[in-house]
Amino acid sequence: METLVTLSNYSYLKKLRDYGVSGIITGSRYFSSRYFYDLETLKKIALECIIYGLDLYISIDTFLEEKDRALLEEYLEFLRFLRPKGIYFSDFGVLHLLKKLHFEAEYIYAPDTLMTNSLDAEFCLRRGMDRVVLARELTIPEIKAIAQRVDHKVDLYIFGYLKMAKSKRHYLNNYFKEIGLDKEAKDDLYFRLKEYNREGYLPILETKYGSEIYSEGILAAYLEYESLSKIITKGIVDDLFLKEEVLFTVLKDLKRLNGDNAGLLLNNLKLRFSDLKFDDGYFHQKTAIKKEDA
Amino acid sequence: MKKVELLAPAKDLGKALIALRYGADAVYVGGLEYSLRSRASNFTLEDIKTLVDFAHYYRKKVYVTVNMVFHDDDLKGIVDYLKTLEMMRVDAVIIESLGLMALIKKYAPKLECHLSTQLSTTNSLAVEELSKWGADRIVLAREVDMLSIEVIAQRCKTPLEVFIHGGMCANYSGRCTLSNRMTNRDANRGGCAHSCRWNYHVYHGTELLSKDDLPFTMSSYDLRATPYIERMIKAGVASLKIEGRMKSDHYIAQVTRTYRKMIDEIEMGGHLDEKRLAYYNSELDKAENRPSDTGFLGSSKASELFGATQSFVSHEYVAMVKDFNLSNGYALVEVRNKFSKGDTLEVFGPDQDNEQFIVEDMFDEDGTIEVANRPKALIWIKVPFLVKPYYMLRKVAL
Repeated sequence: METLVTLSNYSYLKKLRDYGVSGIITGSRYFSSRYFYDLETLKKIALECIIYGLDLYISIDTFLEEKDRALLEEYLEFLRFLRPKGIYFSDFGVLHLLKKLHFEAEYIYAPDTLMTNSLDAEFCLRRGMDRVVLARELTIPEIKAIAQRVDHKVDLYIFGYLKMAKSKRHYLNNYFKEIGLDKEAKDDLYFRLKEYNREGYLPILETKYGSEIYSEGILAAYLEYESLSKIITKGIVDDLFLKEEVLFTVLKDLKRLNGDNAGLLLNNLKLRFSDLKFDDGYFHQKTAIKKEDA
Repeated sequence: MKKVELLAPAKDLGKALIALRYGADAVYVGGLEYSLRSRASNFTLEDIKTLVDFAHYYRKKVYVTVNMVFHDDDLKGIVDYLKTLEMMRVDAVIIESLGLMALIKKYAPKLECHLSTQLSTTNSLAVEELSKWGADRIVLAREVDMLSIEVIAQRCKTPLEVFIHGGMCANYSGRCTLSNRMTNRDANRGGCAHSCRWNYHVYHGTELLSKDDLPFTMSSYDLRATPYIERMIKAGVASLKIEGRMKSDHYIAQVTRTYRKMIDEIEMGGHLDEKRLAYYNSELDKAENRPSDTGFLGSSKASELFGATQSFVSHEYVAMVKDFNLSNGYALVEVRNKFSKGDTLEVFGPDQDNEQFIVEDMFDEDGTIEVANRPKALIWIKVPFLVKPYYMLRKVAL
């Protein structure tokens, strides 16, 4: 399993290479719900990826509005010159345009919640997509079954806050307006939600495209890493909301993780960053279908 | 102008028949398995067969939702289920899974595939791609604005279905796992706990910003698209969809009938001015609605429902007509909610405009009664005009 890191901080690039990362996933202010780079910076990132030998993947994770068709086409023409290794997308309109433009790159379908079974993974791979990103809401046996069925052409989130919701709504700014608070939420990484009766703070990020809400805990696939590494093509470390120190501790750990030291390294991580909550996501917990089974 | 389809939801056979009687051209229902709304799915295969036979007799259609976001284990038995639906002459299935669409094309090719709003289809390029893969109809995401609907309809040949009324997911449908994480109930497999409607504190760093007297929530207004129905029809949208498989008989009847009348008026060449829109909105107010707005149809920035979340209803549903004795003017009704002698009731039916009367006399098997307050009880009530089975009575708020 190769490790990819989402790049929320441009200054990390060289260091990422030193920590054994094979590539980065990033994007720009255009058609991305979480990256804020302008096009010039994206060009620099692309250049540095070549220099440092990192694979560049671009994320286009918004749902395209009809009025933005021409803009997306222009953006893809711009990206063509950056020669990304692949494009992550969640809207089949993006795929349609990539094919129409004969855009040479890997096409990776990343629909977050929807990629949950072998049938859908197979369908996508037979229709010109090179890989799919599995949903976060899967158990280890489910992940294995899908990966084996599609010749391991799957990516999986292995570390980071789990995305729980994506909305076109500007939740925070709407709320601030409602209560008469003069505060701007856009592109600010420090907002958190806390449900009245539950522990834990949920990171929420609002951009011009809407809002995304993340889990209170951080997925840390330490104990599962060795078995996952045999079946997953790319493991994704999501650096959003993570401090630099946490990110690079994890990347250092991933380089040396094995079945024998995983528990120890995870414990060390938890001790070192005791203010954070690490968990294993849905790897060992199947969610219930009906209320009475929950 | 192409005839548009009015598509209504139904939780069970009774509600489906009401929806069809009150003007729906098609109904969508869920089976006991494979449907996203597990709590709203009460159709056995036998019920579906009965419904299809009834609907087809009146040249109407039945769609079955097979729209759970499947995990591998959930797919057991799915091919047999699809073949059975096809054999029963179900007109279409509403699905999210593209892999399932491939199975349908192979094993149950007479079933049309309508791709669910969970796929978040927001543009004509996506419609083209999905159509190429075999989609027979696309349900657009509720995040698409009216102008975009018009453009997509113009650019694409594939029939489009658009939500016009009812509850809205605050997040993109299908792209939310708040419920999974917070209650271990899978939102995409029928267990949604509506965690978006709960109250939350908002912090920036360690600073608390939210106010307890007006807490933060992601609860959205319900959708009511009345000002846009005319444009949707003129744009060539194939189907106008009402949401609400958990809703009551009265809600289904009232909302379906209101949009039926509105569509008929537009298709007859009418233009809905403000006065007519106000009339239709006042009719919709008679059903149990949460506060509503036009969602993303008119604006790319929909707002949330902070504070008041109580449903508002101007008329309370009290009884359904079962029979009418022409010789003495008494109707046999099934009681749903309390009403009394002296109350003003409004009657409406599939072919009956609203008509009011004052309750002067009613009796049950034990004799004259002053108050009808036993749900499901059958009583006789004096009605000064002809009423028919399936007409509904509601109490007018004074």
